Amino acid sequence: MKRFSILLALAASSSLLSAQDLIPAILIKDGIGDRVFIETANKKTIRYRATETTVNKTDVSAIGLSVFFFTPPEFENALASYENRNYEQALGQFAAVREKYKKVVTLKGNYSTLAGFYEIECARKLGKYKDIETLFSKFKPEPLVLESHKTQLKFNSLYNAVLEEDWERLNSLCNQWEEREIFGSLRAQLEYCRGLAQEGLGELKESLLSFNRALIADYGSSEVVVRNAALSCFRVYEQLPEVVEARKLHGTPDESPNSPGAQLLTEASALVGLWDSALSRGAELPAEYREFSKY
Amino acid sequence: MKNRNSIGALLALLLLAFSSSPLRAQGGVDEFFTNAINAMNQAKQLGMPAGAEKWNEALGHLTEATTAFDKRAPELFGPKFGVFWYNKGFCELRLGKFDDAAKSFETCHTKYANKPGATSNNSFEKKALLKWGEAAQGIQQWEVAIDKYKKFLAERGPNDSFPLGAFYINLSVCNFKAGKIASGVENLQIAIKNKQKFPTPPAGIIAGFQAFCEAAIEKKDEASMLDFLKQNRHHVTFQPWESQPYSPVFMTLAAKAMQAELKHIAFELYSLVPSSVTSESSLIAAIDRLANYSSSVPDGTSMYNASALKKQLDESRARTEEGLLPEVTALAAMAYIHEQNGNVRGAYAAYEHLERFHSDIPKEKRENHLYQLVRTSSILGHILETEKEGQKFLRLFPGSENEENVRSLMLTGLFYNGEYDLCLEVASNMEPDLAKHSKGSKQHDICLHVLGGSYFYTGQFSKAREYLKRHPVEYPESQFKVAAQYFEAANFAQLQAWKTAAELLDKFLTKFPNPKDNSYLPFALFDRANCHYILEEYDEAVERLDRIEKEFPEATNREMVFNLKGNIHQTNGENEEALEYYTKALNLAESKRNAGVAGEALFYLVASLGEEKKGEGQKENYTKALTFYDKFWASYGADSPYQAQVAVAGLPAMEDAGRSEEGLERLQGVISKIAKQPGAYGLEESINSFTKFYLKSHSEEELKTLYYRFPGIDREDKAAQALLRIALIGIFEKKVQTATKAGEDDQASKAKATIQVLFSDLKNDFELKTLSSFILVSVGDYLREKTASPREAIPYYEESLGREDKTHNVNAQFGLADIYGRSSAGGDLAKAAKSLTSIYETSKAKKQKERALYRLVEVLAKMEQWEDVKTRAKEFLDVKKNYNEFAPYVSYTLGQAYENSKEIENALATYGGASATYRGLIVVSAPAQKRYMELLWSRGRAATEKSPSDKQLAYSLGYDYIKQTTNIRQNPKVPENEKDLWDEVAKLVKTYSANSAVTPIQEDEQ
Repeated sequence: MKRFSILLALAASSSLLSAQDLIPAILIKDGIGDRVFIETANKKTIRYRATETTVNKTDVSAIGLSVFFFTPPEFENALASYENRNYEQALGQFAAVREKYKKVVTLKGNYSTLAGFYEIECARKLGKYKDIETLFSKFKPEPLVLESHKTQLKFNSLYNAVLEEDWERLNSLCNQWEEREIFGSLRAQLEYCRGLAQEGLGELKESLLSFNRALIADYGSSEVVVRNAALSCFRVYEQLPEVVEARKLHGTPDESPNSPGAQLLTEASALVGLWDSALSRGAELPAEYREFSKY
Repeated sequence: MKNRNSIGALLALLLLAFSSSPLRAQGGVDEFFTNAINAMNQAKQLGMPAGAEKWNEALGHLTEATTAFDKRAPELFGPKFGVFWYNKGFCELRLGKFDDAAKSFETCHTKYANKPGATSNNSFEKKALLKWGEAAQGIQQWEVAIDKYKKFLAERGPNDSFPLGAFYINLSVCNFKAGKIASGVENLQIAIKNKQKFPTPPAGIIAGFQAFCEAAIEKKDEASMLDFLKQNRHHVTFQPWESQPYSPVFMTLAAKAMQAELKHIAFELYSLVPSSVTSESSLIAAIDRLANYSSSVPDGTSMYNASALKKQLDESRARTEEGLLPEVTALAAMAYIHEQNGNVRGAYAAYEHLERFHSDIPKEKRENHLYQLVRTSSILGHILETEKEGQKFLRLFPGSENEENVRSLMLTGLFYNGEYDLCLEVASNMEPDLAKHSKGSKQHDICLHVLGGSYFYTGQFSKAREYLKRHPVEYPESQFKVAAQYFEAANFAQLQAWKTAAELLDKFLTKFPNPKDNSYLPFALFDRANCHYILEEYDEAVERLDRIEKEFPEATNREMVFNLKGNIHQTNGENEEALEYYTKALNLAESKRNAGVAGEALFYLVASLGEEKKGEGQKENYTKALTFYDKFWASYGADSPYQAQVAVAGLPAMEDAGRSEEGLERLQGVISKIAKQPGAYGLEESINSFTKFYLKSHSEEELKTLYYRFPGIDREDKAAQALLRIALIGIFEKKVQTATKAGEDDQASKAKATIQVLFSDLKNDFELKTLSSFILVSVGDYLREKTASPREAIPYYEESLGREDKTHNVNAQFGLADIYGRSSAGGDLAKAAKSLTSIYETSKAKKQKERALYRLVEVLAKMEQWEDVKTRAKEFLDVKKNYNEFAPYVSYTLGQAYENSKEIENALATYGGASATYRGLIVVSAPAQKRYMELLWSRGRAATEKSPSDKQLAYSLGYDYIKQTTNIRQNPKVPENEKDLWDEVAKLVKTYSANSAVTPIQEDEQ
C-alpha cells in the first residue's frame, strides 16, 4: 500500500476477524486503486488488510480516499427478494446486511447504509408507515450515492402525514413538491399521497384524478403505488354521490346512461378490467370493488 | 470479451494440434494450415468487423485445403483432417455463413468421426456438434440446433470445454423459437441460476428472456411469463445504467405484448425500462464510485469501466437532448392501454404528464400528445383544461392536421358539458372568421351548431334563430343535422311562433322518423303537441302525446308529456282526467327528482282544485288543493319558478280553510323574494292577487300602510316598491269610481286626494335614475294604460330612452307615442306620429309593427292628415301583411279618410264593408253603419229598376243592422258607450222611417 500514506502499520500476531468479516473493496486515490479487505472504518480512518489471509492491518486516512465496495452476496440476495417483490423477506435480509456491514457505515457508498435505505423502502412498500419512522430515526443517509434515494427519504414526511391522517398537512406537503423535478417513482408517490389528502378533505373528484396520475407517473413501475392508487380509485368511486345514484338507478327505467354518474361507473368498470389485465400484479380485488364490473 | 477469449483458446488449441501433427509433413496442407492460422490470429486481433477480411482469408486457405485433400484425407490423414473442417466452419460462423458452417461442422463430425484403432484423432469431433448447433441456430433450424446441442451435451468428452452460460442461453433460445416454452424456461433458468458460476453475462440473460417473451407473446401464454417473472424478476432487473442498453429490447417486446393484448406482460416489460433520468443518475453514481479509476472492475456479473460508463452517459445525454426518451414511449403506451380499456382519466393523466414534463421532445410527438390531451380533457369535461391546452395547441401547431379537431373539441367539450355561456363567448368570436375563411369546414359546422344550441339552451331564442336557420342550410349533411333541425324547430316553439314551429317540426318528424337515428324524436313530438295545444288542435296534440307514451317508455320528458296532457284535458273540461295526468306527472317527476316538473304539476293541481268558485264538492277540492299546496311549499317552494303562481292559486283554498293570513304571508314572502329578481315572472300578478285577497279582510288604508313598508322588500327593491305603489293607485282609482257611482262624493274626493299623494310619493320616493329600464317602462305602461293620468308616465319612458341599455327602447317609444297620440296638441301628435313611424319601420316584431301602424293611422286621423291616413290604412289592411287585431278600427278610420277627402263612393264602400264584416263589434260597426246610412241619405239617388233609392236603402240597411244586433241592448256584458253608439243607429233608422221618402218596413213583410 505504498500508494497511500500509511498512518499505522501493525503486525498483529492474531486477528479476531475471520476472512468472512472482511469487506472487499478498492481504495482509490488519484485514479489509482488497490484491492483491499476492510476490517473497519470511521470518518477519518480505514483499517484494512492487503489480503484475506494476512494478519497485518493497515490504517489509512479516509480523507480524500474513494472506496469502491464490491456488492456483498447477502445484499445481492436481499435485492433479489426485493426485486421479486418479496418485501417481507427482503426487509429481514436488508436488516442483516445493514448490521453486518455497519463497521463501514460512515463511508460513502457502503452497503450497510444502502441496505438501511432499502429496509425503509420495504417498510414503505409493505405500507408499514410506522416502521418507516422507527427505521428512519436511526438512519444516517449521507453515505447514500444516488440522488433518487436521498430524495425518497425526504418523502418520509408525507408518509408521516398519511400515518397521522393529517390531510391538510399532507396536502400542503404535496403542494411543496409540486413544482420540483423529481423521478417518476417519486411523482407516482406524490400523486398517490395527494390523492389520499384530497380524499380525506372530501375533494373526491380531484382525488380520482390524482390517483390516476399515480397510476401512470412512472408508467406502472411502482407496482405497490399503482395497486394502492387503483384500490383508492375504487374507494373514491364508491363514495361519489353521482356514482351512488347511478348504481341505484342501474337497470331501472330511470337509468340515464349519459349521466355523469353512469359515466363514472363505466370508468370504474374499465378499471376493474385494467386491474385484472395489468394493474393487480397478482393481487386479489376486493369483492365489493369487483361489483363495478357489472356496470 | 468472453467470445474473444474463447476464440483465443480455440486458436491456441488448433496451433497445438497442427504443430505436433504429421500433417506438417504433407507439403501443401501444412502451408494451408499455417496461413489459415496466421490469418485467424490476425482476425482475432482485429475483431469484427475489421477482422472480416482476415476471416475470409483464413476461410480461403481452409477451403482450398479441404477442396484439394478431402477426397483422400480419410486415407491420408485419418480423422485428424476433421480439424480443417472445424476450422473452416469456425471461419464461416464468424462471417455469418451459417449454411456453409453447418455443413463444415457436419463433415467434421460425421466424415471425420474418431474410430477405434485409428492412428489419428479428431479432437473437434464432439465440439463440432456444439458449433453445428450454433450454425443451425444461425439459419433458424431450431430443432436441428436443439438436437445438436443435446447430442453435444450427451457425447462431449472431458476436454470439450465450452461456455456454459452461452450454451444454455442458446439452448433456451432455440426451444423458445421452436415454441417449446417449458424446455426454454428450463434451460434459461439453468443459465440464470448459475450465472455467477458459468458465468452467464447479462447480455445472454436478456437474449434468453427476449426469446422467452417473444414465444410467450406469440402463444399468448401470459401465465408462464408472469410465473417466471415472479421467481426470476431480479435476474432481469439490473442497475439502471446496466438496463439502459436493453431498453429498446424491452420497449419492442412491450409493444408486441400490447398488440397481443397481454397487458400484464406489457406493464411488466415497461417497468424494466429505466427512465433516462434514472439511467443517467445511475451512470453518474457509477462513475463517481470509480473515482477516476481507469481499470475495469468486475463486481458480480456487472462490469464497471469508467470510460465505457462515461461514453454511455454522453450517448444517453445526447438522446435526451434529442428528446428520444424511453419514458415518453412508455407513457404514451400507458395512455393507450388506459384509454383502450375505457379509463380515459388514466389516459388523460398520462398525456397531461407528457405535456407537463416531456414537452421538449420531437415536434410531431408533442403535437400528438398535446392533441390527445385536448381530446381526453374534452371527454372528461375538463373544460378549462380543454380550452387552455387547445389554445396552446393552436398557438404551437398552426396548420396541424388536428387543428380543426382541436377547435371542435374545445367547443363541443364546452357545449356538451352545458357551459353555454363560455360556448357563446368562444364561438361568437370564431364564427365570423370561420364564415369568411373556412366556410364549409367541419369547424364552421360545429361552430354554428354550438352557437345555435347555446343560445337555445340559455333561453336566448331570438338570437338562436339566426344560427339555427343557417346551420341546416349551410351544412345539410352535418354530423349534427338532426340536432340542428330539431333546435331550429324547437326554437320557434320557444319564441311562441307556433305556426312556424309546427311546420318545421312536421318536416323534422317526417325527415327523421326513426328513433334509432333521432334521439330528439320524443322531444319533437312533445313540442309539436304543444304547438297543437296552443293552436287549439287538441285531438292532434293528444295523438302526438299518446305516441310518446306508447313508443317511448324511457323518454326523459314523459313527466312533461303528462302535464301537457293534463292541460289538454282541463281545457276540454275533463277535470278528472286532467287531475289524473297531473298526478302522474307529479309522481314520475318526483321519482326522477325532477323538481322543476314536480313543482309545475303541483301548481296545476293547486290551480285546478283550488279555483275560486262555489258549488258542490268545491270544499273537498279546496282540501285536496291544500294538500298539494302544502307539499309544494314543503318540497319545492324554495327553488321552484312556480312560487308566485302557486301562492296566488292557493289563496282561495287557504281562505276557505281559514288560513288566509298564512296564505297572504306566503304570498308576501314570494313577492319580497321575486322582487329581488329583475324581470321575474309573476311579480305584478302576485301583487294584484295579494291586494285583492288582503282587501277582503283589511281596509284600503291598512293596505296603504302595508305597501309603504312591505315586509321583506327593502329600499333597494325599487321595482317591487314601485309596483306596490301603483297597485295602491289602482285600488284608490277603483274606489273613486265606486264612490262616485254610489254618490258618495266625500269618499270619492278622499280617494282622489290619496291618489294625488300616491303619485306625488311615487315621484319623490323613486328617483328615476334608481329604477331599472324594465321597471321604468313597467311603471310607465301601468300609468298609461291603467290610470286616468297617462301623462304621468312620460318621465318614466323618457328616462328609459336616455339609458344605454336599449332593451326596452321600443316599448318606451311606443308608450310615449301612445300618450302623445292621445293629446289634442298638434306638437304632441306630430311627436307621436314620428315615433310610431320609426317603430313601424325599424321593429322586427310583427305584433309591434302591427300595433305601431294602427296607432299611426289613428294619430294621423287625429291630425286630419287624410292622405297619409289612406296610405297607411291601406298598408295596414293589405292581406299580405296579415294584420288582423286592429283591422276593424283601421277600416273605419279609412272610411273617415275617404269621407274627409270627398271620395264618397270609396267612403260608402269602406263603411259598408266595416259594418258588415265586423257587425258583432259594435264599437266599429255602429258608427260605420251610421255614417254609411248618412252618406247614402245625403247622396240621395233616386230608385231605378234594379235598385231602391239611396234614402230607402239607407233606411233598409239600418233596419237590418238593428234587427240583427237587437240583443245588444239587453246584453249586460256590452259596455254602455257601445250601447250608446247602437242607440244612435237605431234612432237614425227611426228618423228615416218617419221620412216620406221612405217606405217603412212592416214586421209582417219581414
